[in-house]
Amino acid sequence: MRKIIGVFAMLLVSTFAWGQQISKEEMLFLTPLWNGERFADGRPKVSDALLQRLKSVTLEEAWAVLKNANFKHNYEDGWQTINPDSVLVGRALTATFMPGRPDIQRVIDDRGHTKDGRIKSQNSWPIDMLVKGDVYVVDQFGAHEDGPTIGDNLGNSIYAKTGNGIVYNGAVRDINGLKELGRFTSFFRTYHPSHHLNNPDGELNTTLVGINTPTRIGKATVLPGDVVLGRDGGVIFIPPHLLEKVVKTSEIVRLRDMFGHQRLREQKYTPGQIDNRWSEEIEKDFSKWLNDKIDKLPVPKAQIQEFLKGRTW
Amino acid sequence: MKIKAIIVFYLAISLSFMSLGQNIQMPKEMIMTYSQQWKGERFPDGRPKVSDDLVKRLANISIEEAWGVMRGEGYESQFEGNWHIINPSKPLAGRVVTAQYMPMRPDVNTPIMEKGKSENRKGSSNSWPIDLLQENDVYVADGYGKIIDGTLIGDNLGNSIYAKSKTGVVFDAGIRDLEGLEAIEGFVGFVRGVDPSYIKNEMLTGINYPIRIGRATVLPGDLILGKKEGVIFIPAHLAEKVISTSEFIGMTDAFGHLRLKQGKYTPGQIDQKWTDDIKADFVKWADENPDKRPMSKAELAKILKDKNW
Repeated sequence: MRKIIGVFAMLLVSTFAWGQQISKEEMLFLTPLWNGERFADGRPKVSDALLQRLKSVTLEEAWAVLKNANFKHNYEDGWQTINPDSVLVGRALTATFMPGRPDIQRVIDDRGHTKDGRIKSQNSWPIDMLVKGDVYVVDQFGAHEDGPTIGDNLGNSIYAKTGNGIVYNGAVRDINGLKELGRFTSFFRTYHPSHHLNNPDGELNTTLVGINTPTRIGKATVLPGDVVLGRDGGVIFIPPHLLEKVVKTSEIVRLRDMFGHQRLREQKYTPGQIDNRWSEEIEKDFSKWLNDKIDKLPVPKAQIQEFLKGRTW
Repeated sequence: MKIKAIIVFYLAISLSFMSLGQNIQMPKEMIMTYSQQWKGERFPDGRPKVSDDLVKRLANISIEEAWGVMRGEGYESQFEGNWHIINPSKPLAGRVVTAQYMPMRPDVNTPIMEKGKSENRKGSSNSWPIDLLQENDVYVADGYGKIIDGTLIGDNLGNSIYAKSKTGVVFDAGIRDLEGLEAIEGFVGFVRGVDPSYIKNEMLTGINYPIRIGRATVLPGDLILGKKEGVIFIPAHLAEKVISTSEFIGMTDAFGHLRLKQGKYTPGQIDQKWTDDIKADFVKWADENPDKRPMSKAELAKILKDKNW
């Protein structure tokens, strides 16, 4: 009997528990449109295969699909970058920092260390949670001097855990070390050699108020598990339930462009024919072209077969 | 039978908490944890309730003095300037209620609106924080600096805010109906700009969570003082110290200026550390001039005792 009461007491406590990190129920509440796989903490986990295919998608293609679904506030630009010619793709894990306050800095440190098993400084807590394929997305409120929470030490850790770079609304330090990582494709506001201050009894300017809570990055609202696509100086945050549509739409557009451009070079059709709604004859030609080249196209074969199945031409 | 009862009890309790799934308002335990240095009265939702007496006295202290005391306590991120001020002739003073707004996402907004409806909240979500206001509250919102299509209130909601709080607002955002808001006698607003558009493509994500207003981090139950220079947010547990110390500095200034005008002391005597004679003269003056002494005798005695002056 006592055992049962004990178990229920524990369950009850776990229901009450909350920390810097969003609760699982809240995560589920805020991502109701995602029906697929999730991490143990509830964060949506889109498939690795789709992430791989996302690497060829342009910002315009993703932007158009999101806009049609009424997601108009998921894009942000105005970044400095590492590897401007590379593409950053992954699942968002978010952190929200605010200007430091000793009162909450102390209680957050205390609860983190004694109850939540967090180690040392708050700026490393979200990094400890990263896994392969994540992108660390941080709101450091645009802080420049005395702003950086990430230099080449944490950069090495982030890269080792995720294989990715970061999206960081603030300044980074150790930029040379971050560039030397090679594939640390990143988007951040500025660079400054200083670092943030986190001593509640001395110099303090940064407090971690949320891990995986919704965060604002410029004009975009970002949820944990959103899919980050960063390239060509811009970043779009794709809600997980729209990822498949983004990828497939992009692939079809890519195939149609390839076909159209090839036929224009061959002068088989006029620009007017290709730049318009295609005639039945052109659509049939396109189906044949897909079948003939199915092994040589930049889209997985299975995907093209599925696409052809849905075509009436 | 007993076990069944326990299971039912547990399920009932845990369901009642799970139904909070997303908390539009910050959970009470979270407010209590963040503000654990506050030992005084609280509202039922856990928000610190600094006394009405201190709120009233807050309006008369200077921003510099409040800033100086807080800096001495290690609170360096409490002030924000560069505002468009509505009715700047009156100071804004009260207890903070916070609201967080973010760019619209339908996937997030839909469950929040449903949750709000189930909590019996009425109308569009930008009126929900206003429904909670009580006298001497100040509605403080982060609307991420958006002005066009980011006007959190017009004169309808402004009238409601003033009727409930008798104070005003601090918005990192815009407002509309400026003339209508100016016409509300006593209403004071600190906003980023004015635009005739109405709120659009924006959603409420939380009430009474920590928010950022420019360089400051703001918690529910903080005191807020707004004057021509800007606004300053004072953690509840520091309210008494900030206010009485500021008042004390104001009193020593008033006493010093008076005695200089009377020619009783030289500028060198007043501008230096006071001698015991001058200190005694000050205490006597404070005793005889209760209208120049905003705090009680006991509070003054405590300051004199704590202070190395």
